[in-house]
Amino acid sequence: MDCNLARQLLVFHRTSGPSELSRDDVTALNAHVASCPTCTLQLQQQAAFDASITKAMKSVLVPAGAKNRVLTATITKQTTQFRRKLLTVASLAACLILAVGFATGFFHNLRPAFDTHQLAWTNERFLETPERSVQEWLASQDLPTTAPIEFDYFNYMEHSKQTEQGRDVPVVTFVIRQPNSPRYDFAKMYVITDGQFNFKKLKDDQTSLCTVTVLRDPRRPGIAWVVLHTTQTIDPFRKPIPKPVA
Amino acid sequence: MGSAGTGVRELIEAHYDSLYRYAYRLTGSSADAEDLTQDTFSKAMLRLSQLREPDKAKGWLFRILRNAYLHKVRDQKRHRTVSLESVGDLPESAPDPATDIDPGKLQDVLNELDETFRTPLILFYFEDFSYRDIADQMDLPIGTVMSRLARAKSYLRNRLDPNSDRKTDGSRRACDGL
Repeated sequence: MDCNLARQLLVFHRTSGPSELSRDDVTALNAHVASCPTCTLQLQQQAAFDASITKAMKSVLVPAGAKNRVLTATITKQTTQFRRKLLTVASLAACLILAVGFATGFFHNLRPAFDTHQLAWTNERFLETPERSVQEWLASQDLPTTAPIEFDYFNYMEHSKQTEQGRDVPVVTFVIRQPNSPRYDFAKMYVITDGQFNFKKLKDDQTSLCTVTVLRDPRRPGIAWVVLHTTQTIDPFRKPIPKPVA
Repeated sequence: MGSAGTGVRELIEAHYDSLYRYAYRLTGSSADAEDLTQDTFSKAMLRLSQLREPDKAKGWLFRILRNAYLHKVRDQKRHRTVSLESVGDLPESAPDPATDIDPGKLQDVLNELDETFRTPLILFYFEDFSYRDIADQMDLPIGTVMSRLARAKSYLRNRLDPNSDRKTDGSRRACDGL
């Protein structure tokens, strides 16, 4: 090792503690310094310089009471934060409890009581004046109150909304007793609109037991009355024409 | 709050003096040092859960303090610092070892240095941090730390050497790229 390299290593050599150099470098440096008065002096000067700097660096007077001030301030701040956090958690918990309470109460209030009186009254009204009640029911859905033919509401059975091919459709059902038989025939009138279905392919149809008759009214092109009946024709369900008084 | 409170109290008891001195050497002002130390413990309190290994509390606190200091001075740029570009890597001469260095003069010289050079010097001399510790503190490669430290020590030597022509001299400081 020559002096130039030794001086470069000395820069990184810590004289006051464990050296930052590798063990090999320290060994080589020590060997060189031991045999080189110039580098020995350099090392001594560096050690003295480092010691002086360390001493001066550490001579900082910590103000009396500073630690206690920080301690007090930090603990106070921590306590405040803890109280704030506690308050926040308590507030959130209270809000949650209130929300659950309100939701539960709201849910209970939302479920209506089953009104048997209303049930009986509604059905009685349809039984007493079926034609007018059905007309009112259709009118409430912005549908025509009358069909192109007049049904005999003496045979009225029920009315409801049925889901047909993905759409809710109002249906009025009529029932008649088959002549000389305990069995019944029925007719179900579906009132559909062109807003729900495409009318282009709408037509009459028939299977072995059922017949479908499509009724249209030129004055109401957006409406179709589709009647499903188990009779040959729809006529048995029509309102009878009054016989002229002789 | 019990354990957390105890944790902060213990940290303050154990490390306040070291942190204050470090803060003082960084800022050069007693009031700033006290504020910075207070700020450091406030931040430490909030992040206490991040301290996984209590043995490393000191390094952790020093890092918080340095970050707080950098954050504080980033926009202020209040320290007029010298560039070390013109300073050689090797010492040109050493001050008389028999002469004690005035701590105030040392602080003046430290204040002249950019923080990137001042911090490794303080940590090296004041807290006996290893190069590896300083590198961890500053998020720098160890080679960069060694280089900065060597240049900063060289600058210190020249500025504190009463026989050097680099000693406190207004015209010289101005030429050093302030």
